[in-house]
Amino acid sequence: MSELTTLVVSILAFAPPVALAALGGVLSERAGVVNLGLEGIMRFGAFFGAWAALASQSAWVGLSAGALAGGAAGALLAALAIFAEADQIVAGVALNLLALGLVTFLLEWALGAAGGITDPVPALPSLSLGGLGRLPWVAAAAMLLLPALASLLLAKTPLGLRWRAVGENPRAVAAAGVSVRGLRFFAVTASGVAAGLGGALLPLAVLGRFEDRMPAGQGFIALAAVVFGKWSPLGALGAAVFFAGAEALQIEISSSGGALAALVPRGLFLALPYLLTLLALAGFVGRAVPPAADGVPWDPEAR
Amino acid sequence: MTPILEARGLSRSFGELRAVDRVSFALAAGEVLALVGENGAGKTTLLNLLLGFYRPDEGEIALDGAVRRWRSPADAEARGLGMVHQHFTLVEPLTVAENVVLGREPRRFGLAGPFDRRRAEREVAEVAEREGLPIDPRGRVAELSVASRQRVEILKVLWRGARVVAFDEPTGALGPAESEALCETVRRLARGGRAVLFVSHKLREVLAVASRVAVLRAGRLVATLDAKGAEPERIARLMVGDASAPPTGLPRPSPGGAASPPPRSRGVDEIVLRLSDAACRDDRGAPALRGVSLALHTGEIVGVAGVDGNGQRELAEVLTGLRPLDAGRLEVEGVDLTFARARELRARGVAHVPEDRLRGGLFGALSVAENLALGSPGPLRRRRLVAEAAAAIRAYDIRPPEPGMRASALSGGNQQKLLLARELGRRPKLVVAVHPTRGLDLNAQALVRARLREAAAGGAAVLLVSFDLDELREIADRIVVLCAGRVTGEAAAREATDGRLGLLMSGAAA
Repeated sequence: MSELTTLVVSILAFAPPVALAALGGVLSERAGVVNLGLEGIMRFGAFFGAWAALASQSAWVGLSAGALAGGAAGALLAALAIFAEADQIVAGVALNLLALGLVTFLLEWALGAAGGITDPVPALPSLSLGGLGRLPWVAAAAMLLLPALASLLLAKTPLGLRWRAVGENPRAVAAAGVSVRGLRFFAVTASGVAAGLGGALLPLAVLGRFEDRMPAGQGFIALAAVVFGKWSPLGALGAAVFFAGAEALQIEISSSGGALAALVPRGLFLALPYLLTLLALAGFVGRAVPPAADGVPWDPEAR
Repeated sequence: MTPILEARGLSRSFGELRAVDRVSFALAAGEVLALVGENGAGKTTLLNLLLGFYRPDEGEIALDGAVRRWRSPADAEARGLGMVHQHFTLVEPLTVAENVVLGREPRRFGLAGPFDRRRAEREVAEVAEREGLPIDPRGRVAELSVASRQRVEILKVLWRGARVVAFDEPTGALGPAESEALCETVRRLARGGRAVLFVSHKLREVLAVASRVAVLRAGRLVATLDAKGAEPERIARLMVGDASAPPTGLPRPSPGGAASPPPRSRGVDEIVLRLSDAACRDDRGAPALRGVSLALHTGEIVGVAGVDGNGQRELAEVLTGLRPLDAGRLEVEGVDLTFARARELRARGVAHVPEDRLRGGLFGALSVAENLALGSPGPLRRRRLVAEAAAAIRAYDIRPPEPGMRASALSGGNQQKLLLARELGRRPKLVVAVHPTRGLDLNAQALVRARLREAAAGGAAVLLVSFDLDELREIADRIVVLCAGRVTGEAAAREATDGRLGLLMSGAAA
């Protein structure tokens, strides 16, 4: 029983950054833009979140700054992919590389962080669970609440209807007199805000400081969660929770020693979530169908 | 009768080309005005000018006598102008009601409230009932037939309060019964006080539905006739602009080529293709062919008629090796090719003119010469390619005659000629042609049909899938009808009346 509780607690602690970034991925792809820049956006969110929190000595200011930085990075990606009509994949990769270099530079130049690690940052409020450690409830609440809200937005509002429509058939949206580019720009910016929030949680709720290797591939895990969650906000949340669970289980098994850890190579557990995603993509775990216009640039002149 | 909509000297150029040249007309309530003309005559550009998709270089548009300048299509829509596009603009995973109200969604509790789905469904149901376009507002568009999807497009326009409705080639993908139903819908719209613009290639249908016919040629309005008493031959002549040439004649007989279509004759009565009890599934895994048997002889053109989505596409794909058979047997010249893939079938002399030229037939980014060389063995030598391309360009009247031009830069008709030049140039044993004349102007259509006939006269068997029953009757020897993946009947071309085929296509006679 207590092991199960430990598992739940570590999922609630580790899943939120990936879950929010995955939500960002869903928001963007449902509007027809593949956001391959999630990794870079999370990195911006994490860095600017930590910086602002250190400067203001407030985790809340840090969180807002992370969201803002994510939104700005999302808007940059949107500007490249939608208005400059750059290839979405290339633009996303470029954003990741930009984040990699720029943040490393800023880390030294602005924070003078030795060894690529900042001082401890103010943490978001957390709940003491006695022997189980502390639960950063703000992150957990955001992880549970935001996908639910996004789900309602997509399903129940006119904006959500257009959002889904523009990811399936932008021509229909244009014919209905709605701006395809405006809608997509908004969606990708919102995607950036969500991923930036997710990134900011890394220093502010998970590790307590910023490290140069952040987010260490979590943005790509989020991309996998989008597919595994079948492009729905709640599905992506479920996938993120599943990945975090597999991660926690792997830590549990390798740290507790035991016969199983000796028998099964640790790497196998590490790879398990992605193996499952591959299987999901190949159609074994239910069919994963992306939005019809996902990744297709909007060209009003095309016939 | 005061006109609702007036065009006064509208012009629009694209580069050097004057696509619409000083066109003026007036459209009154209760009237159906048909716009006819060849490809590139300016019909679609004219519609786009009237509905705010393009801005005119010169001239003006008047609505109810007042001059209007559309800033956007939405602007024209707000004033009561709507268009039913040739290519549907629907979102498949959404419901009928969601598609209809998209962009103007009703909300609960005023302006900022959530989407009022129930009200949307109720209003769509009301409009559908009133206009005689029965449909389930909650149904998903993905599950609808082509005809029903078109109904959704019409409902979109009507729900938005259009008083002027424009139809761009609305019957291109419909069977005869569905086309007739659409024509009735159009007449009903006019009776109800709306003004209708109707763009179509099919003169018979135009005469059945329109009150007046406006003929466009090279951007100019060359004549406006009363539909009553107008003869299709006269209109066709006005369209091509050559009073002496018969409207379905070839553009120019190519030097050395057969000038007149060879007579329909069956040479040696030898079976080229034998398909027995073929069954296969469609892309979604549902049964598409359920036991189709066909035999095609040398020199024979067999037409395949049917309502869209009854297995025609899958049949063509099975015959060209693009879709595996679940059951049955496929033989070409007595050789069992049931399990052969496209490569082997091509090697055995099966040519394919697919439905979607630029997706299944040509590479838009490659040149004319390169497209012609696709699939031919051996190294590509530039000089030889260009020489061969020049010959094909002459034989098939591809314009402009530039071997180095990108295929995507050619007009639809010339792309089709290019595709035909490659496929028929290999002297195939079996030609599978799917809608080879769809969307082409009359001259290009005539050329395509003549070349198919020549291929048959040269000993090939031709399978021609088409929605155009007149075309099938004109060049096919016999017509088989597909319905729900089965052959529901067969008739000699000259005995195949619309009524008989329609009955077979609906499956009622089976």
